[in-house]
Amino acid sequence: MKCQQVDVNIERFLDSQLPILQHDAISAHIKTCSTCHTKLTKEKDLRHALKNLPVEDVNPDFLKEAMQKAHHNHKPEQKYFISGFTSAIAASLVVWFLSSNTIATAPENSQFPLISMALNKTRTVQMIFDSPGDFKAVKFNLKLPEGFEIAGYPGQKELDWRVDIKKGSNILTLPLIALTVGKGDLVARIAHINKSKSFRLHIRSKEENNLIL
Amino acid sequence: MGMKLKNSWKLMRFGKKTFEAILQPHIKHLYRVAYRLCGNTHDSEDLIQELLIKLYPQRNEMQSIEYLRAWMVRVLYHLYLDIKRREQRSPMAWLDNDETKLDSLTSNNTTPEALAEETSSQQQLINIVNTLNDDQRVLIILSDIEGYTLKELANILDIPIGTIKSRLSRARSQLRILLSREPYQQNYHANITKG
Repeated sequence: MKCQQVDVNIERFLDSQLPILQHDAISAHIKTCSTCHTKLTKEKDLRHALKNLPVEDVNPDFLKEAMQKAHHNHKPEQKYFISGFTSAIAASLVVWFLSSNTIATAPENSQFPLISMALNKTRTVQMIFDSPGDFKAVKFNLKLPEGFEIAGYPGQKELDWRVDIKKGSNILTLPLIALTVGKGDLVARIAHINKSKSFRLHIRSKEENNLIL
Repeated sequence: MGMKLKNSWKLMRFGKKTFEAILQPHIKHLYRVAYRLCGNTHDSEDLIQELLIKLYPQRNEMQSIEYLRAWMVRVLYHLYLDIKRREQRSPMAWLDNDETKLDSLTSNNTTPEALAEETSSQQQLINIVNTLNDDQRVLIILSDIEGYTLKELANILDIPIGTIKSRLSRARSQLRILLSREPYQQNYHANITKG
């Protein structure tokens, strides 16, 4: 038995997929070869570490709720919000129009920014999220009100995707279209691990002649 | 390659079980796999929710499925792929986000506090597994982390056993390459020594 043969067969050896004679030959070789012994030990250590990677248990409350939803809803479930956001991904939101460079301000009696749009015209809105750190695979969910769409995605009222965000300002560009005269809330949510934060933006659309920004 | 329907006599003998009763022995394991695939609570719960909604109409047939757990993992995996495809079709892109996964892992921009939180070798190993491509990552998760056999993997992933073997071998090789890169190697082996 040569070391090269151990190299080639080390996985099958650990997976117990080798014929017994070959398995025994490798076992005997490893007892006398410190190089191969070290390799095998490293491979075993890696597999041990992989098997012991932490995983969280399922939340019983979630499970109960999920079962109930499965009972009562045979259609694909809409995404739901997690309450109880903590500050780990605390982010501030500023919204402005690319076209006007005007920072949208929240109207009186409202805590949310408001934008107005002309009917059937694409308006690019940039949302800036200031992140306190780097986060990988952050889930982003966008819900659009009736009568509004993202350009290129007709009929989709909800979009999900995942991105890495970096410390500092992260800019998301949304090409919005108003299909009907009306108003509603665009809700954007960032979720990471078990924390999430939602942002709400009032949108209203009018005939172009009646539009006052 | 599909899972067989078998033992329909059980239905006649024991009658219909509730959906919860069918799921109960498997749900923790399904959540584990979901968590391994998604990497966070929120997405894992979304995935499990979609799984339960998909399985509910099949609750009676499920009682006759041989290797029910592996069959459900297979359904779970395909739902996961569906979600990934939906997300990849998203039109949105973040500006200045052209780093490779590995570059972002080795970034020196993290604060000492943040770095301290993420220096556990287990987290590093998770991060490194997550830098594998999707096919390799799934194989490592199901085989080396969750312990599925080659035959079970072939069933779950709809791939011939021979292909599973070669892909798994490549995935493990890639994992070793990533582990051998600094700074992971030192920390990883330091942890093994401590353990």
